[in-house]
Amino acid sequence: MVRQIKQKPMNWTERLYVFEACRGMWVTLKHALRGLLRYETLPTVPYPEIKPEIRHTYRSKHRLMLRPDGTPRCVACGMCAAACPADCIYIEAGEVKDGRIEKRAIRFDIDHLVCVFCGLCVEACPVDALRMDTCDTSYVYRNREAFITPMSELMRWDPKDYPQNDIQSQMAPGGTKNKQALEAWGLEVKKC
Amino acid sequence: MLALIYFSILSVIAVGSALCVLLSRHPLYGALSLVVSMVSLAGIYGLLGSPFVGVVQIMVYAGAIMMLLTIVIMVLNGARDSKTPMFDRVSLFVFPSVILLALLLGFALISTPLAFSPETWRGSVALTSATLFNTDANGPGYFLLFEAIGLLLLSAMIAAVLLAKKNLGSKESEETKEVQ
Amino acid sequence: MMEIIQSKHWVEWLITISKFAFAFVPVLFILLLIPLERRGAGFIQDRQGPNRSYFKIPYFGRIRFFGWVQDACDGIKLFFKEVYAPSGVNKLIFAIAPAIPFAIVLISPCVIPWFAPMIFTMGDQVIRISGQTVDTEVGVLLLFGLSSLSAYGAVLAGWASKSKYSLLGGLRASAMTISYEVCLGLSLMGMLLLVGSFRIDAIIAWQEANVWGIVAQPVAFFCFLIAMIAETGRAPFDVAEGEPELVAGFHTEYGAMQFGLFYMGEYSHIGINSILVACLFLGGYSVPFVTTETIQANIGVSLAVLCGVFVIAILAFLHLLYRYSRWYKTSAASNKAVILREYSLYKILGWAAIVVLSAGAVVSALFFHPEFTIIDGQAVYGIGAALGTALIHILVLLAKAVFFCWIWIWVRWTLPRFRYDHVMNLGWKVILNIALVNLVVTAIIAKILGGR
Repeated sequence: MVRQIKQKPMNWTERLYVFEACRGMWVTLKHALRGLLRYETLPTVPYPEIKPEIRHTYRSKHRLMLRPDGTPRCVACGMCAAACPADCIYIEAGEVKDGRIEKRAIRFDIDHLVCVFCGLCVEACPVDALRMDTCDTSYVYRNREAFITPMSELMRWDPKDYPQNDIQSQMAPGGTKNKQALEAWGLEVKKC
Repeated sequence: MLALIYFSILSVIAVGSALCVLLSRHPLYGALSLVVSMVSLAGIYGLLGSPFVGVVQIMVYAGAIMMLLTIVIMVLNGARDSKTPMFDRVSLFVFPSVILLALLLGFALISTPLAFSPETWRGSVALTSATLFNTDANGPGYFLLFEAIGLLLLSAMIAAVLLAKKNLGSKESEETKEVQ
Repeated sequence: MMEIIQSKHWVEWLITISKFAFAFVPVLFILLLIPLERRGAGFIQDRQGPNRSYFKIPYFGRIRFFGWVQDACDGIKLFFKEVYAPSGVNKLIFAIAPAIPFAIVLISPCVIPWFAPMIFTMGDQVIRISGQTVDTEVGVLLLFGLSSLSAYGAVLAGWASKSKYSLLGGLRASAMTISYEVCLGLSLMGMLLLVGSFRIDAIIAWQEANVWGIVAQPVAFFCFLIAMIAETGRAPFDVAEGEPELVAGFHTEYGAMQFGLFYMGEYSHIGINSILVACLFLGGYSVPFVTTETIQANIGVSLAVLCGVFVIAILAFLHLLYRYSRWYKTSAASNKAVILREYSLYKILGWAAIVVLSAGAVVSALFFHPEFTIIDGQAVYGIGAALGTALIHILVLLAKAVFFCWIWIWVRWTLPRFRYDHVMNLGWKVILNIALVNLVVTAIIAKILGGR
């Protein structure tokens, strides 16, 4: 549908420019006085000293979700690597002894220099093993190799940094729901 | 004493830059030296007790007219670094006339000595306006000349506008109107 | 030579010579204008503006002076960059051009009256010192003449750079200067007609005796202000250096301190123009509703009031400071401690200044009653009263000028740039005609009322 925006023709005060200019000056004066007298209400913040609040829905650095026993949830299916438009995920699958899952990842590298932070890997993951809600937006290293984040790095996160209603995160070791999850999980294991 | 010092400084600058106007090969250098000459001439006017004339000299000649001249030199091809010859056939006529004029002025100056003292106001603003706009019936009547010159300048300006807008009704000028 | 020196009292010589220091006032305005412009622009755009540059002192740590240190940073950066000229430029004119506007700004303030003529007794002599550095009767005209010369800087820089952008910028600058010079002169003519003199101190004396120029000639004030802004070549009239069209206009090819001279020339031009507008239309050094005679007669109380004004300003500043520090204490800033330590210095200085100023106010109000002698039916005071009056006058003039400086910045960061033909239309077809009509109307009214 084509939306037609009707522009009103300017009336004579508007065409004189002077009065409209004064109106604009009044607006900028208000903003200037706000900056001077209500400095703390400025929408910009002095960045490194005061960090802006980043929501968990913001696509930032990846993390690998953990089972209650601390092993990664990843089943090395390779869906994320297949979905990745930038080809930045490298997965090497390995054998699993305990029989709960078929495969596990023994290498899971994400090259954060190549990553475009599109979030397709998170969407693709069938077991909710990969998330991008660390709120970690600035990470700086000296060389290119350091930006290739290994699995150990991706698994290093603290459940305390995540909200209580994020049950999947709280089930990880150290989380509030970890004990319950382990119990439930243990029962399941026994049944098998 | 002080006036003499100032006068000698200003006159050396004025004469030197006037010589530069004659001798410089680059038209823009010539124009700039003319500006310097005019500014120092304005200083001499001020020294002679008529600061009004001096300031008008700066405003009108150095400020406006020479600015326009500079623009013309810059925009037209004169300001390419083409070296114009220092002497040509015209200078055969110019140099003798300059020397003749200098002799004439020197003779005039020697015969009527000029006294430099800032106290004597020759061309103060009040004096100038009182003389210029003296509307008495038996006054000098300069104001009539002033008005006549104003009319003359106005007609000259209108003529210049008409010459510049020769093709007033042509297609091009209509297009520019639309843009505006 | 000796007669000239002996013709005046040594105090007169001292004051006369120290008046030359006023030549640097527009240059000092740069120091004020750079932070005012950059932080003011920031606030207008809801940013914070540059506030990071600091220097360190022993106990209080990083002193930032609310972004004031940025002056030094800008200056040092420009000063230590390599002076560089592209190949093919006209070396001589390229080097001279940036100096022209700056040199003219140094000459211009000579005709500005900074205080009412000082008349005081020194021993048995009566000394009269005028407020201008150069006491000439063509005051305003000289200023206009000099500022019309300053366009040469832009023109020559544009030509000598051998760059098309520069040349176009220079041409535009000169065309703008010439056309708005006319508007400037004509819009002022109404005021000059009322006063009947070109002297700026006469204009101020007239305003002191009657009403301020902004009341007597509001239309002229408006035209004058617009023409002034256009003549400085700042937004919204900065077509000479319009970034989208001409890169940076006439100073495209300049770098380092050569660019810095243009930059400083522009800012000090704003300074001198604000002072001029304050002089011509806002009563200059005259304090509103109080005559110079009243100030001189009650010099002690006047100085006390001056101190009081300063105390109120400092109290407002301290109030802001305490608000900020309260906010910083509760905020999540990681540099809280540093900032609070820095603020403690300002608090100490502010309270100390308040104590000193209040004490000074009380002392001067109670004990400063100068004696006077009646000369020609006028009370003439000693040197103390004269200097105190001059101080009040200078500060009042500077306060008015700073207000106009803010208008310059405010307009620049509010209004979008005009197109070049619009600027020319505005100059020649609108403002010039308004100024002409204003002149004629003023002349008629002055003839009817004053009969002069």
